[in-house]
Amino acid sequence: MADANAEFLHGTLDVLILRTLAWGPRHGYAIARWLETTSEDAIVVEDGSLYPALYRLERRGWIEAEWGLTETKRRAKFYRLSPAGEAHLRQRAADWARFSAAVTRILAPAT
Amino acid sequence: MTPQDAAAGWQRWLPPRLRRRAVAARVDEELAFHLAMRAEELEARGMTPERARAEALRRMGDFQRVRATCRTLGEAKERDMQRAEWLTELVQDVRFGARQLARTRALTLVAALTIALGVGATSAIFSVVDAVVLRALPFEDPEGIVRVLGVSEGAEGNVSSATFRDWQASARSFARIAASVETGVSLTGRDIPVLLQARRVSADWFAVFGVRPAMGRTFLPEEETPGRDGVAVLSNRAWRANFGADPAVVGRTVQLDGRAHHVVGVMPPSFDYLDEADAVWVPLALSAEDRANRGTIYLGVVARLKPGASLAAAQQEMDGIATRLAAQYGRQSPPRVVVRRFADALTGKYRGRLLTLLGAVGFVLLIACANVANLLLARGAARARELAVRAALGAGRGRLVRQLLTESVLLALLGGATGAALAVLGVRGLVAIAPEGVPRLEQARVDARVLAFALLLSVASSIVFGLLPALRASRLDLQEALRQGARGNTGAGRDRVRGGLVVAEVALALVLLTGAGLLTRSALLLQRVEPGFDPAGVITARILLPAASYPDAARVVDGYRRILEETRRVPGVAAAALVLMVPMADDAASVSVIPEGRAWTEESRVPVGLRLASPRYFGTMGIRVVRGRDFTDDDGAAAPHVVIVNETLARKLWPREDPLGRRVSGVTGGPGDPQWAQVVGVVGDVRDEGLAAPPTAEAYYPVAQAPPMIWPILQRSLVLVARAAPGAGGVADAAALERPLRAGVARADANLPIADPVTMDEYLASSLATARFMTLLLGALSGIGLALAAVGIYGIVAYFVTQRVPEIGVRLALGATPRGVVRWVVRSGLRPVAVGVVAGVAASLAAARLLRGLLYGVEPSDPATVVGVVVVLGAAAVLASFVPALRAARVDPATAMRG
Repeated sequence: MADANAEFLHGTLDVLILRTLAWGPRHGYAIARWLETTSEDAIVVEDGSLYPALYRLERRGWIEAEWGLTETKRRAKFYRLSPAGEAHLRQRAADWARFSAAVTRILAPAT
Repeated sequence: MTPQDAAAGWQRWLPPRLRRRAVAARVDEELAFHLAMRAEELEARGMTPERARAEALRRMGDFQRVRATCRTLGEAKERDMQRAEWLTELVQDVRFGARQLARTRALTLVAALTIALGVGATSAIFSVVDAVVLRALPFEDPEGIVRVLGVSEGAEGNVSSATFRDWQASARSFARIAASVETGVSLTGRDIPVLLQARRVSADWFAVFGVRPAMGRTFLPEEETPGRDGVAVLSNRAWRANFGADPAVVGRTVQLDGRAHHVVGVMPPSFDYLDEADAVWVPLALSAEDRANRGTIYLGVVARLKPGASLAAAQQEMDGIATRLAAQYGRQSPPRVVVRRFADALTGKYRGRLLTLLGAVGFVLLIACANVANLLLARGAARARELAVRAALGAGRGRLVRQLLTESVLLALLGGATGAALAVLGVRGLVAIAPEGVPRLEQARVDARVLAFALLLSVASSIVFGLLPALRASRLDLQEALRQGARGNTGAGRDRVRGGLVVAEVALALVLLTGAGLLTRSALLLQRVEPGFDPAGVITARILLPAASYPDAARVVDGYRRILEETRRVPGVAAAALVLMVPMADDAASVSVIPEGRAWTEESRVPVGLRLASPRYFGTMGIRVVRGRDFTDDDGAAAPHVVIVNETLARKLWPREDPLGRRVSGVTGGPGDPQWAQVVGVVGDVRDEGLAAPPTAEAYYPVAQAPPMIWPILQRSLVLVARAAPGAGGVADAAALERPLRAGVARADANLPIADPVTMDEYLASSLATARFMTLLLGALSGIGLALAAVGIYGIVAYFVTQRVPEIGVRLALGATPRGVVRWVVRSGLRPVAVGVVAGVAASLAAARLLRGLLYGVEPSDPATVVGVVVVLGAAAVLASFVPALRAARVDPATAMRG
């Protein structure tokens, strides 16, 4: 199960991060926790892939970063979605929906 | 904005190493935060703190690699951001700069135009000079080509065949050494026989210059033998003019001097630079006896230095060889030998003029830069307030500097682009208006090096003088800047700088104008110099009798007699004669003679220009017969030998006595057989070497009495001179005689070619052409320099007026008349001009001394010229000050004082 997850996550990790941030700015740890929680631990992001992904996304301009304080008054780097990131997310989401629908059709048992 | 974000702001300015550390620190902080949170989560699930931390670390995977990846990505992002920001700022600066320039449109235009004139004029003129004088010789490594000259009786020149062979055998400094002699060949076997200038060359000659033939080959060593020398190499010009650019010309047989020659090669067009007249090259084939001849001096020697050999080393070696040979052969070997660079001979004539022009070009550039500096300083001062305000509002000093820098560069580029266009047009214009006869002018192209240099200079001066006020202003206290009022007091210091610039400009312009004035006066005086002959309606053509048909002296003399007869019969010919060479034709022949009564020693020999002349030559050429008589037909071979001398020679030989009846030795006279000739006439001096050079001593001997042995040396060649009878309008048209002359000569001998006829007017014009052209260029440069200086004066006076508007208002209110105001403004504008004039006059007196070699008939300190120049400059300055002065007079006192 974990291996299959890893395959799906490669390349879709970016989209997941963007989707997470659509709900509001978060720091890196919060993104990881949110993904684990929302997917009910089905998706476990290896922490070591998360941060490089975040840096890449920041460089591409889809997310923006700002240092701020958490509720517990600790310094953390918060990420938020940029307008370009929003547009990219919408497009990738649509692509994914089409893709998964197509796969579902193929995998559907013949009736 | 948190303090950390502000920190990120200034971190941008950190050097790369510190920036990387900042990025690394932030990466570490972020990852540490994550690990801490993960560890807390795990602790909350029941792990021990140590196990929680370890587990958190494990979940991170390869921690070091993550860290490194994030760092790299972080640095990359920083760089991207920086670049984007830099680009945005640049675009902003450019737009801002353009707007600023547009706001002060007049000043921008004037500054740009100044730069354009400076860059354009100097590039154009330098390019033309480069083409005419400096163009690099199109040979392989031209620096290594030298001429080796034998020095005897004080003159540098040719050597004998035996001497050349000795040099060839013993000189080690040269990779190749070759000899040549000019000659003429008649190209026959076609409808019109043509006389071509040719050169007999030894086999290595082409190799000395390192130029490969465009078609075919050059000579082989064995072709230097008589009998095997029936080959020829054509010049590109001759190939086009006489062979119709036939692509199959190599291998064709042509009749040169009545002998068949195979064309073995054609040289490329670039080789035409070498000697613009050489049409054909044939091998220097000498019999064994001629090869060993040490007495006849006629070969010019060129050589190529061995790679690594210096000119000085070659000179040293040749000194040793010359001494050895002189010891062995005495008088028959040149006592001294000189090795000179080949290129010097081509530019040496023009060196003085060239340096003058370059100096003038430099001056104009300097004046242009001073002007631009002035304008920018004025503008900078006016903007001091604006800059101080912007600095106070938070614009970083660096940003301000960059904006001003962009503005200056924009201005420089605007001016520079216009200047480049001006340069191209200028070159074309100069070529169009240049007088006839300036060599290689049609090859003038805008020289990229000079353009680049001028552009660089203008950009540099724009930047320096655009920035200077900015740097000063950005340090200004805002309060102080605002307090100094809307106009902003410039302060005495800056005014002094600008005044100083005007002084410099005026001085430079004065020097330029003085130089131009002196040269112009020289040129005008030169044109009025009497050449000593009357060129109107005289046409000349060189004739060369081939040895085959005219083997001995009697036949040569008779042949020429028949030619003269036929020529005199041609309708339209008022007079005709023959002479060895005509004045100003760049020909030379000299012998040394001794007047009767002196001992036959080396020192008493007098070198004179040798002239053979037929009867009525002086009348045909319009040369005055001062005393005695002209030659007559009675002065034949059997009659007593006679000679006619010119005034210079008469003065030299018999200073205060009557030369008529005296005797001098003949052309080939020697101690044993002087061949005395009696002086029967004295003729006026002729400016043989050009109007500027003093006339030389000349002796004329009758053609009929020329010693037989001299004809082969002279190649049986004389020049036919004919004067046209005045036509319908009273004007004698020499050029119209060309075809009748050819026909006349053909009637005397159908196979006899004549060289291209040239009128004496053309010779006269070409001797003046280059000098006139250079003077024209200098005049143009001076005009530009004057215009620029006037603009500079206008600028500073206009600025002065703008600064002093309140003061002008006060004066007007207190009762000053507008005329008084005008006078006051003009006077203050002229103050720096006066200083400049004084400095300029002093400088030009010093500089003019350098011109002495180029001047004719005027002293470098010619007072008339200096006064004239000062008047012109003063008038221009007054005019330039007048315009803003008038504006000052129209100031409304009320508004002025309100400030």
